[in-house]
Amino acid sequence: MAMEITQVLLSAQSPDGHTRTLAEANLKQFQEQNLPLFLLSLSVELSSEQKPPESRRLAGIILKNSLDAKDAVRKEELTQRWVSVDPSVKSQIKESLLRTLGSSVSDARQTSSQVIAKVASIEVPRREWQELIGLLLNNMTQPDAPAPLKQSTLEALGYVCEEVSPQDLEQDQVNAILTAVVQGMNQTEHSSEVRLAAVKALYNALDFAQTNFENEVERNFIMKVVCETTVSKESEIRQAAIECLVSIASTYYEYLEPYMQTLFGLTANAVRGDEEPVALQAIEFWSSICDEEIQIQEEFGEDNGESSSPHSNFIKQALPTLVPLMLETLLKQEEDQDQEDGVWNLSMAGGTCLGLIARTVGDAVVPLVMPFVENNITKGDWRSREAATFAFGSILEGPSIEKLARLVHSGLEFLLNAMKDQNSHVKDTTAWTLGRIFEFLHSAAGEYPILTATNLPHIMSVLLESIRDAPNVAEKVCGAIYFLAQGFEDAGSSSSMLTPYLGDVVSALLSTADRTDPSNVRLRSSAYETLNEIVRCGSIPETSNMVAHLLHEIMNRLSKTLELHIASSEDREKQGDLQALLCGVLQVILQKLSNSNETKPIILQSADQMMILFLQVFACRSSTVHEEAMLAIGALAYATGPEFAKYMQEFYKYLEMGLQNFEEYQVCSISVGVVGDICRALDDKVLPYCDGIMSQLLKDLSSPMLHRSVKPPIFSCFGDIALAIGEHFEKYVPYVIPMLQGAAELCSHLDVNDDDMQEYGNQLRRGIFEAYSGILQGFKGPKAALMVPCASPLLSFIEAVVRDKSRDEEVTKAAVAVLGDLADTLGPNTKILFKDCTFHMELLGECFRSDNDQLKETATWTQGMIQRVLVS
Amino acid sequence: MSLRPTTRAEARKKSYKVAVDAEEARWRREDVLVEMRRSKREENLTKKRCEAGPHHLGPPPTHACGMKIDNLSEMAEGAYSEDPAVQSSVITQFRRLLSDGAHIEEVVKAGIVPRVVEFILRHEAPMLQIKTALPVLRRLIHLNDEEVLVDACWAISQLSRGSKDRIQAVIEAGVCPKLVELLSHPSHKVLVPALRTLGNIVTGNDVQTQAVIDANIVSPLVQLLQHAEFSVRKEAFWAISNAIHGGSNCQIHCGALSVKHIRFLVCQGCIGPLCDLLAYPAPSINAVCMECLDKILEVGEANKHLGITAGRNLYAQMICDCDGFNKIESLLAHGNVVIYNMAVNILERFWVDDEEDIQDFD
Repeated sequence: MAMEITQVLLSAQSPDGHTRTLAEANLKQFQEQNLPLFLLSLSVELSSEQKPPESRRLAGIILKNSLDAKDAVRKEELTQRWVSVDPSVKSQIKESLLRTLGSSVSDARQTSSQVIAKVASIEVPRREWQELIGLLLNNMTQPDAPAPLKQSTLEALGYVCEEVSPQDLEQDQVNAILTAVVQGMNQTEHSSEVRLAAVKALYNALDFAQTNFENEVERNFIMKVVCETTVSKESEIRQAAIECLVSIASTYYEYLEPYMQTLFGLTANAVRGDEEPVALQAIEFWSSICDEEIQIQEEFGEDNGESSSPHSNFIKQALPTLVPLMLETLLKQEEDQDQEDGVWNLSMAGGTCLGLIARTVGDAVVPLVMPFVENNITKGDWRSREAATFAFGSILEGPSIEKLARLVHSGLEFLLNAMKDQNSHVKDTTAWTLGRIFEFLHSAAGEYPILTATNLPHIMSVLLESIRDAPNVAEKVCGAIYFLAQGFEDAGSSSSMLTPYLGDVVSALLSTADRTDPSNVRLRSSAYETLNEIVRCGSIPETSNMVAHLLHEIMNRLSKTLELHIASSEDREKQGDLQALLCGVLQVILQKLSNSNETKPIILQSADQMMILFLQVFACRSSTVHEEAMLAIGALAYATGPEFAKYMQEFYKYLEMGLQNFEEYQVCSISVGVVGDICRALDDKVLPYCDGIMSQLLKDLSSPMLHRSVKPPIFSCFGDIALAIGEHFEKYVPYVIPMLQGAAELCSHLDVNDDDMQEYGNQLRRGIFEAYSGILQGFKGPKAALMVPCASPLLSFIEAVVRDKSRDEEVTKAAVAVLGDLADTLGPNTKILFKDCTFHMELLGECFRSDNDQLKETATWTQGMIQRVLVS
Repeated sequence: MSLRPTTRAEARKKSYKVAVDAEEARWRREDVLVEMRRSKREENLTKKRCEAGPHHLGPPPTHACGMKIDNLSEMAEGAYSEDPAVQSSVITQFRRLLSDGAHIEEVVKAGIVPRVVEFILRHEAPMLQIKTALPVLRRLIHLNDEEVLVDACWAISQLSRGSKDRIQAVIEAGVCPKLVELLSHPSHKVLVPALRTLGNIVTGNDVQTQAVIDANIVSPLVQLLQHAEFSVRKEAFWAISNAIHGGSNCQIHCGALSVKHIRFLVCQGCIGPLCDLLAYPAPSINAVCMECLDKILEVGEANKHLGITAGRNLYAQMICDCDGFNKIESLLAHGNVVIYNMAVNILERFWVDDEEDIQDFD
């Protein structure tokens, strides 16, 4: 029998902290002592009409939180606990929940519909609570059902559809839900609350309607009802109906043809005349159509002429009317929209849609947009000038370079002058447009050079001037410089036109990063990332002095972050963010300078200092390591080689801390990668640290909490360690081999129909092969015999992988390599195995037929190794 | 599940007027590091794979004798020093002596050659160093000392393994004529690595294969394939199969030259010994054998269509004459499905017209 908990629930919401804490502790104790009774009591509270609404609401919320959690592990735990509750208790709870849908208290009804969906999300996939849908539909069909009951029932149906997947419901259940929902949308019969709940439920149910959309009669009916609902008198209902159209556009694109004429009319009216939230959804409808057509084009390759277009060309057909519709919206800017985050209005959505239209149809958009640009760009009011510029910037991706190059040439000078416009918004958009020109049209090696020795001086002086403008403008200027530098990356020759300006550009970016204007949080990271691009794309040795100076400046800045006064966790976070940006620059510099023997000494001279800084950055935090500093250390290890040994003693504890942190799996994954870097830098000098590292890696692998993406890199890391320490790896073999064999077993059980799992399976296989390769090559010599017992299982695993159609080329390469390693290290021991199998010949044949030279070379080596075994 | 309206709006907002996408830049930076790791890992493994396995080199000699150079015995000890720096400097000096050619006898007598060879193999994977190692090795294969010959031949076989660039370096070092000459050496210890090297070279392109054919490899190779002891026969077989398959690594360019090679191999009598190996009790050898015959038969078919063989596949006839047809037929009874399929395939493609009762095979 349920317990009376009203008072505790009320106390838990008391303004008095002490009372609250006590009540929360009481609830927790109750929950731990007797979960079924606790849940039952909550449901009774929620369903009791005589109880105060406050206690009922909280009861519902606690009930909901006892069934679901964001964290996947916690969620699974809650699911198991619910499953193990006595069925009679569960059915009492569910009965209370369903009863509450008819409550006179709206809070109780709403909470109950959410809890019902949570229970359904656990039970329906297990083929339990099969009567739920029927019971809910019953509420809808009772002739005397009150409106509030219908509303909350529709909400419950909507939530249930959101929680469960289409395969969990039978088609007749889906049909019944759709019928109930569509009837609920009927204007003449229902109140606006019921109709709104119905449209929202329909939105969630659309994913279930595949079969219904395939059927023309049912599809026509659904579309008719949705279209009618887009012109309801309540704007919230109109908005929800167009949201349904957006979802239909992306889920059922292929069925839209007969309705497009109507849909264009409806959405055009909404864009032109409806309230903003409705108009925004109408624009989103067209953006979603663009997304679909772009995706289809990408999947099927560029269309080979008019006749063989892979999709219905809705955008192309609507182009003459659609483009003007979007151009109109561009003039509806808000005063300070570029200085505030979180704004989303018609001009922004319209410009976004125009950009997508350009990507969908390419050249065809240009003649429709250019007259608007030319008419407005010189007008007196800033809205016209900004809209014209935004329109031009939006169509720079999609059309051919041939088509755009002439326009850009004749417009560039104008744009550069517009960076002195009196309106900040115009300058912002102009700078962004310049960035887009450089991003999509500028390539030093390209056929239509946009940047020439003649226009570059003007461009650079404008950019260096405007980077000091308002933060939002400066951020766009950073973007322009970023793509400008990128376009010179493939210049090929040792000298780039940009080099003479780099000194000024770098100091301008450093000053920009130092700006203290508070209004643009992205400016600082934009400035540093632009700096990175300059370093990355610069040609060595031309820029090596500049980079060396920058190295010292950045180290200086990093050292200053250590002196920052930290008073709050917010200060700590800011310090960490800045350190991340600076370590990022150091990574790029390290990689750039390590690439050439001439510049490597620059790093080596500063290596000690850099390492001290990184260690200090680590020391700023207690619980977790700094990811970017960790990555920078990986880059440093490659540059220093065996010299890195002297840092190990200090560094080791942070490395271990990173490896232990499997809750933050990126940190763990980065640390695992750095172990590999260090192994390659130190070779057998890494030996003193291997016990610690190996035991941590093995611990990670045994943890059920470890994010699966970290497993493949850990396996590869075993290979790195084994290769570095050779026969000293012997003592880890009894632990590592079972792990590898377990993972190999797992590979055969992955769901091949799931793309993500297929990709994961390939990563896992490669990791396993790389582990074996490292171990086998590391043991080549007197200890080789240790691996003899693994040979046969490994060969079977390779064969299984070779037979698997989902393997990618990287896996194939790792497979053929490990096959050679097996023959190379174990020699005549494997003769009997190879003599009686033939799959390796097919594999080698496949490799020889491939276009990948590396693969062929590896296969040649493997063939030699196997041959040697066979003739031995 | 299609996206919630709020999620869609968030995604659009995020891509609105993006200037520098810091998130993507960071992601790309990490990606560069991951790529670098991958290539370094690959490089280290490759280096290790080029080190000789333990079963290649003879045991290090225990003593040195009869030196004419003052510190030769000291140097010889240094070559086995624990200190890698000492080792490396000593070996470098020996290599210099060997390259000069003046003191070659003394160095050989010091018993140091295996160590030098081992060192070369362990440390000299990159192309440039192969080119510096080969002159030393070329001198060594001209010596009469069997032990030295064995080690040097193995070393060259290692260096010739892998890419076309390596093969080219070996050809350019001018060792092919001597290696072919060594095919008449009485010891199988010399024959095996010499054959291995030549077999490696014919995995290269057509021009590279032509270089060893020009050095008259084929006739001694066919001889060995017929009469040598089995470890040598298998090695010769492998070299022949590589020569026949020369074109299969580059099917598109498999042109006139590789067809010419196959015709030449047939003229020199390779069909007989290949047919003999069809009966050898190892499926891997049988399979390679059938692949070779398949290639030969294809060329025979091409000859037929050229109209130079009176409308017949003469090579098919030659295979029948060598009892090859019967042997392939008996492979139909082989338990291995790959072997069975290959046999069926050959018989159907090249003999089905003559043999009405081919259906019985199924």
